[in-house]
Amino acid sequence: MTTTNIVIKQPSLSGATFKESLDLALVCAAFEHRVNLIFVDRGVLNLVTGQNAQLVADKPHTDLLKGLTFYDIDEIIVEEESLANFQLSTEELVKDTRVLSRDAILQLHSSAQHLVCL
Amino acid sequence: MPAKFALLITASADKTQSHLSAMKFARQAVSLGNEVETLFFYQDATAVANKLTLPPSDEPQLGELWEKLGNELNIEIQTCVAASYRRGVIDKTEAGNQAFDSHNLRESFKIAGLGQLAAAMSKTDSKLIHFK
Repeated sequence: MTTTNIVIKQPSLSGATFKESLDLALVCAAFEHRVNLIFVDRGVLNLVTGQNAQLVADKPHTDLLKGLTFYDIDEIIVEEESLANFQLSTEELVKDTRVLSRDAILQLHSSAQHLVCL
Repeated sequence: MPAKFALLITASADKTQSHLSAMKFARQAVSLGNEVETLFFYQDATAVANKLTLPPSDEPQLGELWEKLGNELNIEIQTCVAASYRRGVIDKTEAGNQAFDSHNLRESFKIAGLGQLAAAMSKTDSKLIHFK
């Protein structure tokens, strides 16, 4: 099975990168890749609940994450150091996030066939 | 054993160096006996497929250069359908569907789904190289 790591570094409301990363993740999963969706740097801000995307005429982006389980992407990986930089805890994030250290994420990358960071 | 590559290009049209690097990589890989199986344009790179662009005369016309490379290496140049339409790159069929009065997709570029990139990535012997 192909393992594809998709890293999201950009917050959702600053462009289409979040949606385009998610599209790629879903399509790779539909092609039976094992997909690790990894949020680092400002990308962790995508996961904070209670944001009102409608204020900028967008859809609630956290809703888009709810569909991931239908594609067998069961957990969202968040970098521990990035969360600490923004003083965030997992209670402030969407459900089913798995916090991993930078080193643990590097280990994941070394065992993946593909690494994409749009 | 020759290597097989899938090239993902996401750099915007003004990031000339990324595009030129991708072209050099493709030519060099093939000249060394390797295979470039896929050229896939996604995100802002899809704007390169717009034939109605006019860079200053002393700057490269990336769309033309990519077309030349595609013909030279006989590789289909694929551009993501959703990313292209979002950025105003429209093929003839979609222009007809939407009753637009014109279309602007370069002839050598083919509208493709992300599935074609995912399928290329699924091949166990293919390496993905990303130019951004």
